[in-house]
Amino acid sequence: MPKPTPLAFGSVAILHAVADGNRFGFDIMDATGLTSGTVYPALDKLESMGYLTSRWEDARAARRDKRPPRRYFDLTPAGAAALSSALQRYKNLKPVSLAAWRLGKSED
Amino acid sequence: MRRNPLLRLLLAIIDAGRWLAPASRRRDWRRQWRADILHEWQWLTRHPKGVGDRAGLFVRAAGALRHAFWLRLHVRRLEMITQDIRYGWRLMVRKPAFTIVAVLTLGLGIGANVSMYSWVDGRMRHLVDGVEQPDRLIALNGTTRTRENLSLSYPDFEDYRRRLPASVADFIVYTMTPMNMRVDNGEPQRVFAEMVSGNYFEMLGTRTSLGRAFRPEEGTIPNRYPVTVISHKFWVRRFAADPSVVGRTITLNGVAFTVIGIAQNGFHGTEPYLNLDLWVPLMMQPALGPDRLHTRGSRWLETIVRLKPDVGLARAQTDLDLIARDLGATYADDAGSGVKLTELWRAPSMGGAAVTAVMGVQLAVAGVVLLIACANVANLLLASAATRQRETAVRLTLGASRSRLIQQMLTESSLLAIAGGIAGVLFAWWTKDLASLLVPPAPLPIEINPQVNGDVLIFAAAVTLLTAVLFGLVPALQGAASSVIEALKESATAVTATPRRARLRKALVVAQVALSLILLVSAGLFLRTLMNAQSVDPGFSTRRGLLVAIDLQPAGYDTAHGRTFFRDMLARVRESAGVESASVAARMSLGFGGNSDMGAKIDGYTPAPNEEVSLYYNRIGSDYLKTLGIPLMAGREFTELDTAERPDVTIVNETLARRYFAGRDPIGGHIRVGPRDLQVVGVARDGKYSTITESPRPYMYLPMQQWYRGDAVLIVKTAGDPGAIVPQLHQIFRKLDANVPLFDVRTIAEHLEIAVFVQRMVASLLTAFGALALILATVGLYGVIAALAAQRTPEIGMRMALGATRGDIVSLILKQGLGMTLTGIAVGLAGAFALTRLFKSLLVGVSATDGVSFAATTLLLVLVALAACYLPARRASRIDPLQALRNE
Repeated sequence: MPKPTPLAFGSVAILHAVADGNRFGFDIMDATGLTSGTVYPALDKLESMGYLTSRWEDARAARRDKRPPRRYFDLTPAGAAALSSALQRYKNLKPVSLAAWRLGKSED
Repeated sequence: MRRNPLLRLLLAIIDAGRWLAPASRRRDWRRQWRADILHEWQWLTRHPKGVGDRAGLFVRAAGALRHAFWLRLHVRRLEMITQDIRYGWRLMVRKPAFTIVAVLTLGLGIGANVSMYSWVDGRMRHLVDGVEQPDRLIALNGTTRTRENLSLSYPDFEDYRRRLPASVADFIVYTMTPMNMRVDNGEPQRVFAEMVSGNYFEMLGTRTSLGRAFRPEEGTIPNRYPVTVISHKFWVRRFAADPSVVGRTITLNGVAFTVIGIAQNGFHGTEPYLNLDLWVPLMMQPALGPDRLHTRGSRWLETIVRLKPDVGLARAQTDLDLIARDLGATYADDAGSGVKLTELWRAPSMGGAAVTAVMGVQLAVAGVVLLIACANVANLLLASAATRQRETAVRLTLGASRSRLIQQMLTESSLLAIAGGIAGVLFAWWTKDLASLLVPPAPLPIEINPQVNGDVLIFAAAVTLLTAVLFGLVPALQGAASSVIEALKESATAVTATPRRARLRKALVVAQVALSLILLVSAGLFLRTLMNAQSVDPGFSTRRGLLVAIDLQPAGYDTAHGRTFFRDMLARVRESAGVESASVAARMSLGFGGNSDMGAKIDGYTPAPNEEVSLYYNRIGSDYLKTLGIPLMAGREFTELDTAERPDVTIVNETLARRYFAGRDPIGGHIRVGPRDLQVVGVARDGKYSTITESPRPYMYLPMQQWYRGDAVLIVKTAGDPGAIVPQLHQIFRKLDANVPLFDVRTIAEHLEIAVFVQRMVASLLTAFGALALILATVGLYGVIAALAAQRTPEIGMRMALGATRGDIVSLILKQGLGMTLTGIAVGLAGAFALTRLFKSLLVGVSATDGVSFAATTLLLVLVALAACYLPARRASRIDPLQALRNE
């Protein structure tokens, strides 16, 4: 069986943000720093790939706050697996010296 | 908060932007964005940071537009199902021959099931239509110590209703009765009425579309309120839907009744299959005939109870048992009596479990046809998957997942199944008039009205779904499991020869042949039964004759006048030209409607302990045996002299004479029935009385003049064409009494057809389905043999180059086809052997493992299989060896 195409960085970031507890579009934007024009389509795409599921937020909670229910995203088992293998990949990035930028050591 | 102009502008952008999103996602897109923006706005209001943050919202709203536009571009990929449907649709359109064959095959299979289900649905679920909560209605029958399935008497009904237990909402009683109706002194017309308890409409929850239903007092005071509610159909048919009918007077059996209402459309009364014309209160019964309302021993009413919500049948039964015990202790007539509740669909008053069994057979047979159809289409799909194997392999190498491919193939088969389902519903709609095959030729307003209604459509959808899985899953799994490398490596022609797939296709053909064989063997058994049944001796030899039903009671005859009428009528009919002999009988043998029996004591015969001597009987006029050609074995026939004033006499059949007068001369013997003492004056030969399949049973004939009944059958033996004397009969009856209509005129030959009605019905159904199965199996066999032969083209070319003749090639291919057929036949014979004994009781003169049926069916299948294989075989033998080898 052929391996699925590796996830693009943006997608990994979004899955990571969702796994980290950011469940709504704007939170995910804040967490990843990506623009809405990137995050929202990516969410739809990840959902169609089966890595995320979405449902509408509990209507009672929304009504209490006097606003409509938001779309709520969650990781699927497949999404969790894809995220963990992607994170492996980024861990394998060759260490690189950032001394020239006066940072001294590399960041994750 | 929403008043803020900035926020309103943002929301307006979202509102406008939704038109960028594709239609299928528009609503959700807008909902998602509005919610997120409102939430963010709230958060910023509570945690103010500065003007910049709110401006940031605009940037994000712009991203929303990008999102919408992206959705528009990518909606197809997101909605793969839609995409698959488009793809599947394109495939279907591109291969019209394949599509048409598959859809027609599925249509026939699904249609057969939908059609059968709609009949069963009409029978089981719509016994009583146009009422509230029919599922709470339960049939109630009376029982005695030794008998079940009895009717109820009116006093018993009143007592049960007075002591209504907590589990029962209400009772109704009713009885069906034919009546003579006259409107404005016109010709008398026979109508079918139900005499019903006053609470009938109220309990059933049936309304009137015009006028009103019965009032309480109309159901309690005898003979005071001559009112009637007429059915919607009758109103339309007889009165041309004239609203002024309500309030008019019509004459029923000579009594003037006022029409008070029209029952709502769709309500046809509480007789299964029958469309009743009108309803009158039971309280009017004494005006229409001898009073039966006040005799506790007279069981003549059918009963339906309505259970309270959430009450089970068992609890109601327990409650009613208590009342029955109480009534039995109070009234001598009720001693030992009880009641028994049954669901309507298996209640004796609704036709009983026998009809249900026949329906079960129908559904099973249709299911087998569907299986064959599925096998056929699965085979077609396998063949088409073979040609698409390269496409599949290429897609797999390009990264498509197998589950994705299976999903796509299942979508394709679902598309086919849906098309087949639609074809099936159309097919069922188109053949729904065939249900008239089920209508017995009886003189009743029978209607089996199979409707393609909501339930039937739900059933059709379920069958379609099942079908899609049945025929789609196997090829889909096969296709996805195929080896990529092999498929890409091998040449296009060799690809199809994957042995596993060929094996599967052969197995499917074997299954089809086996299933068709089972159906055809069953059809053969019933055809033989039908032939046998038609040649069974019914016990009377007259075939040229006429039967005419008459009913004097609705015309207002009492016993004395009725006797005179019958005597005069017979005298005149016998004088008519072309009449050889004539008689009357209460009922004609081998007709619909059960036989009557009564308890008797026979002088000189001591019954064993617990033996109930109960004799079946018929009331007949003089010359009955002569008219029907029943041989008289001893003694004499009834004559005009056996009148009510003379001593009671009886004629018995041979079986009765043998069983109860063993070793004695039955002539001169005595049979006591209640207070009456009957002297045996004759012995008639045995015959068939109820069904053609019955074994000989004791039977006695009673003179009609001594045991009067107003409804009878006039039996006329004619010298020539029976139909020719019908006008004469009409003339005679007009002269005697214009109020007595002749109804249900039929020849004896036509009547004998009734006797084999069940056998004929099952035989026609099985033959039709068997033929259908045979056609499907033949198509399947042909398809597989043709494909296999095509695959072997190079091999055949080689053989021919090496000197094989055309004959060799034909026999090579035929052998392959015959091998599959014979395997199928072997499996089918084993299955048929096991299954046919299930309907042993319906067979006449043929065993469930009848050699002729089995052998003939096998031969038929072999011949058809050879024919199906011959065409591809001949084509294979015409191959140009040079061409075939060059292609390789």
